Amino acid sequence: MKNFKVFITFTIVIMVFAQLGLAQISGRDIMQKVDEQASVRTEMNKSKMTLINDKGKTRERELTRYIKSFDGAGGIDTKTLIIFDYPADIRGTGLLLWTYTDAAKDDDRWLYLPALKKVRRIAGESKNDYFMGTDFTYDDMGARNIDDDNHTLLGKETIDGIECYKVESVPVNKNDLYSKKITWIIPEKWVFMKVEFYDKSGVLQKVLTTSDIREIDGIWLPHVLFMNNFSKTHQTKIEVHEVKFDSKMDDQIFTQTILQRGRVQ
Amino acid sequence: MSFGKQDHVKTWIDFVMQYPRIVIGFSILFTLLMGWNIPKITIDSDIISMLPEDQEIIVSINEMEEIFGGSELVIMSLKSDDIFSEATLRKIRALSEEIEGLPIVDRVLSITNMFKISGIEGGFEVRDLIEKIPENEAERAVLRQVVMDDELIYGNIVSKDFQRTSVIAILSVSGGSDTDQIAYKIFHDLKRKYTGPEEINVAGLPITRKSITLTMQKDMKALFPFGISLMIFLLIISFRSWTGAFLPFVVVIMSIINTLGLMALLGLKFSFISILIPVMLIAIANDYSIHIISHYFEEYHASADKQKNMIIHRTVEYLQTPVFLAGITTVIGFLSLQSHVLPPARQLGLLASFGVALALLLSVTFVPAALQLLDVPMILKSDDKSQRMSRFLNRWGSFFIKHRIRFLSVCLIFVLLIASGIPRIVVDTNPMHYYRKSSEIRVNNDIIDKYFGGSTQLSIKAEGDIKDPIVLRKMEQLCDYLEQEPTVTRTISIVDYIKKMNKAFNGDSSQYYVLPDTREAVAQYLLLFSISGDEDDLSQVVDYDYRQAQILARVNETSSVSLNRLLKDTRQYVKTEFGEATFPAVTGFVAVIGELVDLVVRGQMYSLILSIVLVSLVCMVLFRSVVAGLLSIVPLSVAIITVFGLMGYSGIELNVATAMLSSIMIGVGVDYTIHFLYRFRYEVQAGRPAQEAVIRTLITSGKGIIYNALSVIVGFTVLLVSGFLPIYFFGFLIVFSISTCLIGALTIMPALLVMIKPKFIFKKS
Repeated sequence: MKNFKVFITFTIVIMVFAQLGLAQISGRDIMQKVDEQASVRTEMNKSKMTLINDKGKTRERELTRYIKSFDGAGGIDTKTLIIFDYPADIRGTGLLLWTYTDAAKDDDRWLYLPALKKVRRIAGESKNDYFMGTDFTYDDMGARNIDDDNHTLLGKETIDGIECYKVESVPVNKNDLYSKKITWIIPEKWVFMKVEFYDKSGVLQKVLTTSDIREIDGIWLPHVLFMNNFSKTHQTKIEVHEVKFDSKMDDQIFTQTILQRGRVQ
Repeated sequence: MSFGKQDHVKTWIDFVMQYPRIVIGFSILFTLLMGWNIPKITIDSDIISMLPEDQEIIVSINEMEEIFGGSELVIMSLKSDDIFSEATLRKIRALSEEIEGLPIVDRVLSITNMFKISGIEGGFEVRDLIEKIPENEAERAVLRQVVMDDELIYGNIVSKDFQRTSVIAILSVSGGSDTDQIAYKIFHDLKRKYTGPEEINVAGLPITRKSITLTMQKDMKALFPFGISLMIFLLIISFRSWTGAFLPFVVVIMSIINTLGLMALLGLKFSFISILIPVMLIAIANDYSIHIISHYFEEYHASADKQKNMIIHRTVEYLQTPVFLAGITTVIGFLSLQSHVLPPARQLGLLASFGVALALLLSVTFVPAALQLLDVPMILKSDDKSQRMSRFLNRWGSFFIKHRIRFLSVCLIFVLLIASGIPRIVVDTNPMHYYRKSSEIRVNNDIIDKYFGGSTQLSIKAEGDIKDPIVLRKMEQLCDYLEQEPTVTRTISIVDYIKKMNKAFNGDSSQYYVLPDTREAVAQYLLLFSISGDEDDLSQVVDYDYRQAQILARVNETSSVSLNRLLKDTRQYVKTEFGEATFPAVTGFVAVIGELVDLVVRGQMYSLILSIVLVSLVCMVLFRSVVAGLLSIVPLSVAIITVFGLMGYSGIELNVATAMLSSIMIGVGVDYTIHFLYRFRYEVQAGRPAQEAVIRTLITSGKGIIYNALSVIVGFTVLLVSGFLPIYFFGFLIVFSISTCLIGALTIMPALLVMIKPKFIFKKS
């Protein structure tokens, strides 16, 4: 009888795990796979950002981004060059960002304004957590270290007919912008389907949804990102038009000379 | 002359006499049904609702709030010997963080969350204004210098003496008494929590509105019972009988209940002006029943057979004309307020006229019905007292008849002298002045005005391509113009932010604090701002697609007349310099106060003229004589001129409440003249010579007139305990003006009548 009880318990445990299909995978493992899936040395993309305010009015901007990962060579983590293409009055405006592996070191930023024909270095913390009036923080856009959060697999859930892993990520640092994030990840493709951001007081602040997920250069990429910011009644839509991964990218691109030229070629 | 056909009167009073229980039952039932609605009345403490909704200014204010966000903010001001001391800064940081976490708060402006821009080699640097709380005097000196260099902070968030700083909470929800209630409680709890040794003051529109609501509730709790007890006391003294006191009291209560019930049915909101309604009804609405009851008592004592029904018939027949007239002129006075542009005045006129008309109706239906059912008790005033009064009135009348020429000349000179005060009348529409200078709400707002550049704003809308330097230069020119106006402390517009970016981009050098020359540069600076500034700051000065912008001019002046001038000058400047295409609207709270000035003056004029014309028309019809109409308004005109002259010389302002004074005073005050003329004509037609007729009138109707006026005066004195200054002064002035009307009727009328012997009275019939 006793053995039978143990057997029953064991079976139930097995069945539950089988049901979840995750007997062997943890939340951290999933996040690791997401990281690895999107891990590239360089990325070039052209995208359109549409900002929508609470009255439904919009601002559109088109920009080209070059990102290169340095993996700590010379203390540098990544270098990014952003050049605005649209609207016409800001065409050629550029932003160059260097981030460092040493977390204590402030990012270096240079801005070029074609109307003034001058490059200026902007030092210090960005006062605004959000990237240029969007609903994405610099953190949301950049690569966050996997161990900055504790990840817990909550189970599986089906969204839009796709069965996703549901992972809760709680920041290790209690002063983080968010109290937690819940992410839905498409298995095998290892891309985000949806992310919920909860603010410090535990209230749902933003929801990111992705769509148009296509494989480019062997990497699964959502071509449309939609962030709905409830706390600000503001929305941001990013549509990627063109993207290239791991193409050859000269270090010279990430210099003030190119920034000032306003184009890479 | 009589009103209504005689046989109609008969049938109606016969019906009342025949079915007294039905009349009483119906009156009570109807009152209960109306009273059932009273709990539905909502209190409205919003200052904006003083203005008519279709007023252009309200439309434009709503539009501006729609585009640039509301001005619902609460300001907490901290005072300390040095606000940059470690302890105080820590407190400000903790307070700001706590406010930031409140669900009703959208964002917080405080020195602990501001940023500073400074020039560095090859660029500029954006950092928190206070990265690290300064620990010694040297560090504090550096911080002070940084603050002094930032004009968006110095004199705005930090007072120029560094003893005060404000923490501004911009609320995420707007309007609604629930929000006001919540905000009021939260911020006062915060104040209690963080006070000491720092002093904390709380101000802001939600706080002001809640304070107004609280004062209104306090006023109602004080004024209503006080007024009622005063009335009962007065009635008991004069009638020395419970019946005599009880019936007018019931009439007044029923009139108040029905009036408030009607208010609820019409969906009207209870504003601070509405406090006047029950008080007015207490003071005025008992007159008619008092007349009926006292005449009934007199007749009853005089009659031999003590036939109640017959006596009631006689009483109603005798009194219907003068009582009806007194009522109708009062109703006309109140209805004249319909010509007022301000909704609260119109509302009060409508409701008070309904209440008075109803009291009149009850006095000739409910009161006779009740009298028939009740025992006839009562000890009337002792004959002794009455005779002393008669002797006094006799001497009084003889004096004014004897010295009529001298007296009327003195009157004329007096009127001319006091009239010279009229141009000095100051109009005041600032809702802050509802309160005494020493009141908490005034003290708090005065601090904001004095140390943080004022809490009142003029808001100007700009339209066009806002990124275009041509448009921006116009805005800059208008800002410069506004800043040289003595009442304006500072202006805030998109121009400031663009200049600030230009300065930052050029090594934070002051010589670059100017507008750039090209549209591209403006657009690129705006993009720069989204990188280095807080974009939310921009939403109150420019709309999302850069087609509309707002210029805010902060004002620390509270005089409505100055604000009216600022408004008119600004509109004129905009019109002549730019045309209205660039700046289509000059609005904001300053504009509300400014426009109210004109509306109060206009409303005062219109309602005054209308009520004078209507009241004199009623007298013309009544006595079938133009002269009678003109005569009847002589004592009124003297009273009006005296009251306005007094206002001018004593500095009592013409405001939303006192602007209603003249119509009400005319409607109530003319009664005395009408009663006097009516009796005088009766005495003359009975064959008495003028002088004797005057004396007879004084000792008969004169007594009633004096008693009537005194009860109104006493009724209005309760307004002197109101927490609202306009109501307080309204009370003072109405007491003064009714007294003037009374004295006018009892002095000027006798002297005038004997002097001119008007034909409509002395004609041979």
